[in-house]
Amino acid sequence: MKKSVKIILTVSLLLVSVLTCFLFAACQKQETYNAQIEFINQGSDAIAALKTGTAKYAVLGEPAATMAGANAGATYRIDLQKEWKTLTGFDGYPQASTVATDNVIENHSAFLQKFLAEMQENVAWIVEYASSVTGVLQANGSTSKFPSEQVIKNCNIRFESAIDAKDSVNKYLEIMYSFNESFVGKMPTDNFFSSVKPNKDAVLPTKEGTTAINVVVPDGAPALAIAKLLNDSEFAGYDVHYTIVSGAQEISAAISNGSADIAIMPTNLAAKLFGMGKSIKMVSSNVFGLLYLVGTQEIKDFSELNGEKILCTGQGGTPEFVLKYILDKNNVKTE
Amino acid sequence: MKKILKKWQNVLYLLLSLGIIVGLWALLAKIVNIELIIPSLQSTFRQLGRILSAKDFYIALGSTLWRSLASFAIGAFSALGLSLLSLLKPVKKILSPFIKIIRSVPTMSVILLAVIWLKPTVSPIFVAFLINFPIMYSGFLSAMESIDGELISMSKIYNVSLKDRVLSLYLPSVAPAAFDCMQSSISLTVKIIISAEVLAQTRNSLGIMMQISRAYLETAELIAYTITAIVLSYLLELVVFGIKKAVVRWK
Repeated sequence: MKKSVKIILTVSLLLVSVLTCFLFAACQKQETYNAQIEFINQGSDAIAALKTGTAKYAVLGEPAATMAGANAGATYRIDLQKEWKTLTGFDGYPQASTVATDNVIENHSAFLQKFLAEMQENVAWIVEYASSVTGVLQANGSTSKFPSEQVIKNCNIRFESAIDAKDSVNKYLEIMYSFNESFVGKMPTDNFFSSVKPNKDAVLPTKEGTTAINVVVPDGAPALAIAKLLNDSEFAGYDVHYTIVSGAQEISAAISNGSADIAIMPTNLAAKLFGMGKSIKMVSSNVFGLLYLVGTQEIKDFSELNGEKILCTGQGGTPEFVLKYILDKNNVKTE
Repeated sequence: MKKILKKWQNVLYLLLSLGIIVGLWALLAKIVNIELIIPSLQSTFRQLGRILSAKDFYIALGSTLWRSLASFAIGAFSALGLSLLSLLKPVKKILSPFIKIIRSVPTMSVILLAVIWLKPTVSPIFVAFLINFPIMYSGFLSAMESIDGELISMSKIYNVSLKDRVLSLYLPSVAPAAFDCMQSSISLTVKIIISAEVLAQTRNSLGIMMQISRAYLETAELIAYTITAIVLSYLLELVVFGIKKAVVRWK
């Protein structure tokens, strides 16, 4: 065969191979879907919309997610915490964490270890005594209701000490930061995570008088993390005063003005306050996500959300960013 | 010197007021000394500079502005039309209980109900309308009822057409008081729109930007947004004042 023909044949074969590869890649490209997110102020607004049929899907936290099932027929759900685990490898996102002031960590270490041990025991207690939990919380100023053991389980209240939760916290904050830097402020350094661990047998120092410790927690699921402590915990030599407040801003103000020694708060705000120079450290993570995509019609795959409207609370917050992250990773683009 | 002072006295008083406000703020910030609760002047104005250079801010501002203008326009025209009709006693008596109810309904319950009934982009307009309409209706009606009765009698004696009576007697007589009423209503409308945007979770709005700032503990940013809302209200009042000057001058 003439040399020129050989060259032409070789080049043609190469071109056909390259073209075939491109065509193959184009066929493999996943289809993208589109959904619209409409923000609402609170779960009850979504329940009304689901009931009247103006929306089929909503992202709600517990106990609103269960109420939507009971009141609006939104019995189908996708567990966003499981989806988070599939995508990141971490079992839920550490939405709320406990922080303590440097004073408590350094000067009342034994008390803190026992306090954390009580929080650890609380995880099983709230399930075992589920029927009493609402009463205990409401007796201490909460307005929340947790009607069943399943609802409490759905809130994903766990205990992980700061060191154990560090990677999970960093991953969560990194993803939230990618949506809005102001949500986190500065990504926390390793100093943010205290090395204190729960120790039931820690020996409290004997001393004259009592030391007052103020614990502030937000109402709702985070309050579940101290239900047992509200019910029956005592610490010799310490007068622990618990306050359940309505919002994270009150907790932030309490940390800032020194009226809170220990607080449960949104993890991103804890990181933000640490970044602002407040003398606090994270000592544990306690709420690992409680968001559910509920619907009045069955949803087996994210592709079924194509062209649909999804109601969502928490504009600019964890619900919006977690939903967008999961939808984006499942090829559902949102406005 | 006296003439110069007299000419600029309004500006001087304004500067003095602003100076007192700024001074009190700086003092409070110093006393409290917690940036999260009362941010310093510097951090607030730094945030103000930042948001004024952000594209998102102008989208939100435009969105809140059109809602405010839409609500105000619907309220003003409805109030004008119904107050003219209310010159007829039977119409006034029929409308009276409705106006009393609308005026008495708590703003919060209106917002909470509107959020359920309407879309997030529309509910703030409805809420602000329910607040500004009865105020303007009462203001316009009161101005119309204070027109000199003899002028009205004279217009009837000389068989002046209804159209000419409305355009040449009622509207010009009512104009000064009506514009004063509208001037205060427009800034109230902006306030209500922003409050309703927070509860309705209206996307790309000043209300939501304020709420997110609060959620992110960005108090300085929240105050910066508040300053922009105050300036917006003031500028809209100036526009109404300018229109009043032109209309009354024409009269």
